[in-house]
Amino acid sequence: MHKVYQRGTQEVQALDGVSIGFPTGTFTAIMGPSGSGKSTLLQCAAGLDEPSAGQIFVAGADISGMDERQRTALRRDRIGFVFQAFNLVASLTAAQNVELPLRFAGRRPDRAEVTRALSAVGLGERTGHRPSELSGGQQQRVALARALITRPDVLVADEPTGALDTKTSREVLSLLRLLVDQQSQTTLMVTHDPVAASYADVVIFLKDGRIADRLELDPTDGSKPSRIAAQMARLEA
Amino acid sequence: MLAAANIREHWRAFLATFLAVVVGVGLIAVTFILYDSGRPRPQPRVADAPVLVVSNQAVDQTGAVRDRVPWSESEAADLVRQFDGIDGVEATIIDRNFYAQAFANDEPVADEAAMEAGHGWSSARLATYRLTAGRAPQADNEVVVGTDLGVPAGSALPIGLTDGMHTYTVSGTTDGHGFYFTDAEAARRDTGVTTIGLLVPRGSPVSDIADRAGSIVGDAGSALTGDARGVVEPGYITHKRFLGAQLIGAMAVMALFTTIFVVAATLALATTQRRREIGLLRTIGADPRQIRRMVLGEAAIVGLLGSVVGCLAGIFAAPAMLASLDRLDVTPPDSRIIISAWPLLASTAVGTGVAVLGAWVASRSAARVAPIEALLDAATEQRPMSRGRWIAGLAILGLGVVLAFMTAVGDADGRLNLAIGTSVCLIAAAALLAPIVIRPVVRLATAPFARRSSGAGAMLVRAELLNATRRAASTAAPVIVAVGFAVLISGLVDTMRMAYPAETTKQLAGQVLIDPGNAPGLSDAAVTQNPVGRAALPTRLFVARPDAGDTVIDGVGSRDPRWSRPGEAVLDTTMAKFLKVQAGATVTVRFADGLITPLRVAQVLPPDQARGSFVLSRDTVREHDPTALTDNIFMAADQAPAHLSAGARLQNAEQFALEEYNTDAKLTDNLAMMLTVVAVGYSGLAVANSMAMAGYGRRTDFAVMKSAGGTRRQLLDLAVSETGLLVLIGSVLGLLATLPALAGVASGLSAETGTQVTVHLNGGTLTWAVLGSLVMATAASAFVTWNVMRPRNR
Repeated sequence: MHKVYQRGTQEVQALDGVSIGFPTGTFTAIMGPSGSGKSTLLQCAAGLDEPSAGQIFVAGADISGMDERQRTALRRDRIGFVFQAFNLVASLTAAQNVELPLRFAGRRPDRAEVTRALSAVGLGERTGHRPSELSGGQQQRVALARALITRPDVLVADEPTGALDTKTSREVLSLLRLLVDQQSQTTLMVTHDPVAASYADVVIFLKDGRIADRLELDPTDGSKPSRIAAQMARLEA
Repeated sequence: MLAAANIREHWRAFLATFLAVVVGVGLIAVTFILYDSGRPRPQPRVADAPVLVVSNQAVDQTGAVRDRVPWSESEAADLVRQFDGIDGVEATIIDRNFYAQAFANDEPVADEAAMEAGHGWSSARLATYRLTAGRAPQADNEVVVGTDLGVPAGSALPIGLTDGMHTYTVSGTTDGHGFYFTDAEAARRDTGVTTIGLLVPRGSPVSDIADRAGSIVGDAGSALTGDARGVVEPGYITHKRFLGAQLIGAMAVMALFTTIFVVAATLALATTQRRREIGLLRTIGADPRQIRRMVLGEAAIVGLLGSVVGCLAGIFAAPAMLASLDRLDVTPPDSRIIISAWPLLASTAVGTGVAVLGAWVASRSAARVAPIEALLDAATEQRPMSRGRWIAGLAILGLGVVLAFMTAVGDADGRLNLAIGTSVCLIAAAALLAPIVIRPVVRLATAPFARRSSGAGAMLVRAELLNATRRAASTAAPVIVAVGFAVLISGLVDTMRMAYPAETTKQLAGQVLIDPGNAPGLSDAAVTQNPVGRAALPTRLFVARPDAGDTVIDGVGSRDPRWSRPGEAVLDTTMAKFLKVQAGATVTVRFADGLITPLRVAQVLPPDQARGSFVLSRDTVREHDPTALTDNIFMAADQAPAHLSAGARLQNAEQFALEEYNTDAKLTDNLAMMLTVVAVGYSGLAVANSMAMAGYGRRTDFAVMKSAGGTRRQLLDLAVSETGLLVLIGSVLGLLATLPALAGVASGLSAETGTQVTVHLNGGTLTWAVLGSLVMATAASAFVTWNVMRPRNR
């Protein structure tokens, strides 16, 4: 896959021949220095952006040839999103935020289903609260519940812990890990935090739009974060 | 769900839209309520007749429905005979109305109803009036008069009629207004019938009788019952209602357009401020259609809420508006406010519709937000000019320039509309192209300060305005519109006021006129006494046109021997073209007495206002229209008579024309003032809103500046001077956008009047509009900045 941006008169190679697969039920972290193309990779993979050349398959379907309408349906039904911040619609309660994708799809949300999704992220008691009444970690967990309500093929997380403190970060990451382990939720996460990346099965390192390295993680290894940090330091050098 | 929740959460962003709708719907509701309240109700003078049969109305040359086509006496007699045959009809009465006015000490007693104050005695049975003293008139020199005149039964009373003054004996008095003569006398004074009243005993089936009467009269008229009888009313009341309706109608139209504009501007801004949230919605599966529906739904809810409040405001404001129209004397007598459901429902529908219409553009740009915008960190400023904005701005600018030329060379009738069209185009173009204009102007205006000042203020103002031109334009645009409209309206009124006296002076210099003073016109006696001078006798003529039905035209009875031969008519070219006839042809007209007469077209001449467009002999007009009155007699000053008949006054023609014009100008002034207030008020609202939205959007900027050492005072100064500069730029652009139209009007008037007419601007209105916008904008900007910088304890 290639992605070229036009910035003024200059052409920027954001992705330069990346070829990669994310098997079902795996948790992949994408890392790299800023400008390495990690966000572009995520956005293309999630159907938010189109590659300049190449193909992308999600659950067997080629999404690179889809029009905007089809991609909207793809995002709604097959992909769940969690971002760094501003993840929730401020005017809606937690439950309403969670049921939003169903409503956009024209399905009547089942109240029990929504409550179950919120309970799964530990917020069964807070369905009626607005985002402003929730902490940052809680907001992020509501976003997670919303991302999962459509039972997506892929969960895409862009710096999901970027705006959280260490403790709440750990809660959210454990939750992600739990989803992968228990429900085989295929998960893609862009992060620059080695601790966050250490919750994944595989870490992909990007540099200058190319895959620079790949690190398989052993669940029992306690020194994962420092190994990842060392790898990052090498890339940035 | 989403739309309603968004309004609850982001109420601040919708506040300006809401207020705009409240004000707009308030004004529209007032208009509808006043229109509804002022609808004709049965006049007491005919209220006792359950059924009124009236003839059809003819259209005038512009297609507007006007005078009723009269039945001749024999047609009327035939109808009366048939109505009398309907079961349950107690009496059938022809209603006659003609000029009658009491004179006291050789002066007419002022009476605005005088033109139709004379009636036959049997008409009194149609009225709710009863004799209070004396008896009915029995001889043709007897009359019953209203008690309001204060003349007791038995006294002699001089009464002015179309042929001159006569002395009648008051045989009795009645508790209503008017002069009731014998039916024979009335039939001589008003020949030709448009209204026939049917009296039925109490408890009779009125609607059955009306149906029968309606089928008898067939296509030639209609039978009215209940409130529909209100259309039978004196002409002066209809005229006042028409003036009032025009005044508030213009205001409502202005309110409508400005509301759409303000709603569009405020919602567009609200949408740019929440691109990120919309991006989030797109990411989690909302398709563009759903986003669009959400924005339109929000507008509909805000529009509905604003409409409800606006209707309430309208109900409270209606009496005040009625009072001010009363002061201008443009309401039917005894008007009072009636609140019924339809004006409120209609206003609500209009308000909601207007909000949705205004949200149209915003909804389109919201639907275009890409899902990826949810991931962007800051709401970055878009390109100052989108392609659509360029195209629209330049196209409208081009149209405005074309219209400006047409204004200058066009004819008098179209000029005003063309001028308004020109200004609307140029104002819209200025607002659309503001982002590109603002850049160089700001650069120029701030250059001297930026170079010299050592403080941060000038540098910041310059940088902020140069790099956020779109935001700057959204502040300047409403100012352009407000100042533009204020200048246009006041400038048109003033420029035309300068032109009119110039034209009048040229035409009427050295002339005098005999004017009837307190009477609506001069009698034949007065005209005979002054054999010199132009003494037109205006009448209404009805022509059956094959394609357009009955059409009413103005006929003029002339005593000028050149065109006053019986059986002939002199037409001007416009009228000949309208009637599709040429010299030598025959036109068949129906006169006011209902008689149909062929007239030979003797000549077709170029238009001349002093002659008239359809000229007949004065005697022919008088023969067929006993109710006609001469307005005044024009003559050269040296021919002025030494002695004048009762009530008449000798006037300098020029003076007289100017006074007449000033009466009209008073109305125009009031209209101009109302429209200016509406325009400035709305733009103030829009400016305050865009300042507020911009301020809240710049929260982080301010935080950065504060951390860099800016004091609260400095930042406040920054915001205020930025706004002030934008208001000034907007004012200048608004002024510039209006000048071409005014110049076009001035040059057109110059050509037409043959005098030098220059553009006149009303300095007061201009100052008022600029200062009003400045105060509202800077106050809003200061308040928002202060509010944003306030330390928060959260």
